[in-house]
Amino acid sequence: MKRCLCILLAALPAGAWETDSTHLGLTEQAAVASGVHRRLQAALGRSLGWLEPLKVAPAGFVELYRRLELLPPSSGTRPDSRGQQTALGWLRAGALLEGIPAARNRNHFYDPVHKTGLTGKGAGGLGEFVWETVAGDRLPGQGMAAPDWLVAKDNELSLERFWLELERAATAPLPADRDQHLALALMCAGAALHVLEDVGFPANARDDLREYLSLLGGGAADRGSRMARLATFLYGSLGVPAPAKVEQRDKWRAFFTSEDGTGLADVTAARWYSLGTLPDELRKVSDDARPADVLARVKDAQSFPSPMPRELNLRRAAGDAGATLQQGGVCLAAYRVRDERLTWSIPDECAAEQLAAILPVVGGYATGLLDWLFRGQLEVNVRGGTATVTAPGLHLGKGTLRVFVEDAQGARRPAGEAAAAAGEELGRVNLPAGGGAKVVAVFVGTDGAGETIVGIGEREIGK
Amino acid sequence: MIALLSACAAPQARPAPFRARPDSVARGQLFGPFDGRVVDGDTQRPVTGALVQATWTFVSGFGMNAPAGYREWVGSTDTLGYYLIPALADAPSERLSDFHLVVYKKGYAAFRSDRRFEDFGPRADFAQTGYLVELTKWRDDLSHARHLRYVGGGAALAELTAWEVPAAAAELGGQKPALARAPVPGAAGQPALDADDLLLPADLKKATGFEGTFDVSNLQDEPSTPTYDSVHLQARGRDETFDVALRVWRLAPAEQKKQYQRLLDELPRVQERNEIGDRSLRATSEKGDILAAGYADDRRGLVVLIQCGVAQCRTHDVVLTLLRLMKDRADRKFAP
Repeated sequence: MKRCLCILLAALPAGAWETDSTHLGLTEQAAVASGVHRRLQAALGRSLGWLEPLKVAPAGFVELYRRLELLPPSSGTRPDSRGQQTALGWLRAGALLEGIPAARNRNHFYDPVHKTGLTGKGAGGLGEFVWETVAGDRLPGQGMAAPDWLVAKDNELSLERFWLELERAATAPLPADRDQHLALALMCAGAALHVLEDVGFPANARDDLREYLSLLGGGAADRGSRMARLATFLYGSLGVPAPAKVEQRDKWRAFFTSEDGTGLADVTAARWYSLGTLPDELRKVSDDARPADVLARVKDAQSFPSPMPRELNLRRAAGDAGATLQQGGVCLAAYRVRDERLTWSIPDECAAEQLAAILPVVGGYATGLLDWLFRGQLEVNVRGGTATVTAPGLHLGKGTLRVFVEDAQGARRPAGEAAAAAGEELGRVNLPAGGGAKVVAVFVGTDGAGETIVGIGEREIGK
Repeated sequence: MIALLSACAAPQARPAPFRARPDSVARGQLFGPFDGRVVDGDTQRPVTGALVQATWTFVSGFGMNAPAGYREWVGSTDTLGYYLIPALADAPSERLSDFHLVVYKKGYAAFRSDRRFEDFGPRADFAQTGYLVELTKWRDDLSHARHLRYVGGGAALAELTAWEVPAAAAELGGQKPALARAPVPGAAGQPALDADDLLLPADLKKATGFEGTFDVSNLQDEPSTPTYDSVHLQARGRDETFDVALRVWRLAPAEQKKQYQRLLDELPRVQERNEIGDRSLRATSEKGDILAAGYADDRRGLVVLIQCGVAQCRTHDVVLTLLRLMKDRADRKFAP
């Protein structure tokens, strides 16, 4: 492995996760691991689930298609000339679009220790002023905190847009319109996953701009994250490992950060260093220095409270190979002492170990958020001209229940509306005479945790 | 500083992650050109008409990069399995970041230049020129959902892999690949007939003493189906009197009898000799430059025909020797 990395990264030096590789892989793994495939089939009547073809008319979405045209068809994120691709393709497209243009990425940071987004202060030794001189307005600079970006008014792929599109995916009168709204909802979900996945990247959870200023090999202006490039090389989109443990939360913000420190940004910032947040260089570390004294100086040289080295092997650090700091069997950083200077780095071999540990965790949070977004599955039963709607296990709060009847051509018309009752049974609606092919129920409101939820369910009449 | 600023103006390419040639340590060029050959991994026969899709991707940005466009080339392998992808000519001013190749033909698992299908791990052996793509035959235990992920997107590939979608959806719903099996295209739930291994170039050389090289491909008459397959052993650099053609049909009883009768009716200077199988025949072209022999196996529903140029097979006895070898293998391969 070491040799492989040395040879190939020397040839392929390579930004959070790269949009068209790691993000696609993380998002797709989350899609496959989630229960959304079955919910698309059961609640939304999409028999092919993730593989259901959905069309978004190009004529009505010029700006969307302008951005999608930057992506190769081989990425599996670009619709055909009619504007059609699978449900999974639209989710992937959303994950990609959240990274285009590159400036959106500045809103994908959250430092849970200082409770900030990207401040632009972490540009490293060369200094923010010099970098701005070199890169001008291309330097990422400052950004909104990632959780705030998800609900920002100027984010066209926001959570608010997701709920609206998901509701319309069930309530729009015509099938083509419902297809389009579902595709748009999936894009918003993909974008939300992208933002969450990014706070699982150590530099993004530690306000580290310096991480993004490494040379990547395509000329002096080709700057980005070497660790992200390494992830692309090692895993691409296809090889991203499956989620380790699917995380479950009552509130969407808790996937990012929470008081108990179990949000993805919380665990990432606490567990890993990033290139620009390693301990500062220490001078006058003599051969006979006491490790405990050096450890105390290292603690003062860190901008984050953790991770914190518990012991140092200064003798090994003075050797040719240097020493590594390990935690849980994974390399956190390498350190060495030369000319009485203690310096820190994250070599590629070390970063590769970290990636193997980080990606399944990020995937678990992404899967959990995707399940959370599509958690609203209702059951509809029709007997004697009355539709009874229940929400098993959802613990819904206040909201409105609407029932629609779909005819044989797929057109839906309202059949009734009611304030949803508390409890598992949301309500009963008398269906209009004349029948139809299908009854569809839609709940829009909040759940027991006070979070927005759109619940959908359907039942074919006579079955 | 000046170097940095001037670098912003010129189109740039990242270093290629592949070699220039398989036998070289020199790094390849992302811009191309690319060439190579696609063969069946089991038989080393060239795979003709395989879809070849090349994609170059570009990024822009400083620090945080974003996709900034792509270029694509779609073609197919020639009759000998070769592909040639011209160098990228109209590159945009953005930074060229990556290149990858996808090769696909129905009946095989696809090939990607950047990842392996078996484990989706990075492929380290791809080379810019002179590369040999060995396609693995599709097996029923392979996952369609996994394969569709591997293939990626694009109109041409989506059309060619559309037959896998229902099975892939079933797999995503929890069914195992074997239960979610998709019918091979053109078949009513059956795999395509495969005659590749009934007669190999080594068999031919042993029987005829030929010392040259054979290029192996399908005959260009009809595509392989569940009831028909063909093999063309083409002597490289020689005229067609050195070539050998095999045709195999596996049919229901009535159709099998009709097919054998069709051979009797249509082959030139045909004689029914009943030397092999349930019935057999010999035939000779009008010019006398091609010899043929065929047999019918009623229990297996087989009709097998071999045609051999006289520079390769000097007598019908040689042709019959080859036909007997084919029958031995067919007897083991196809259950009655």
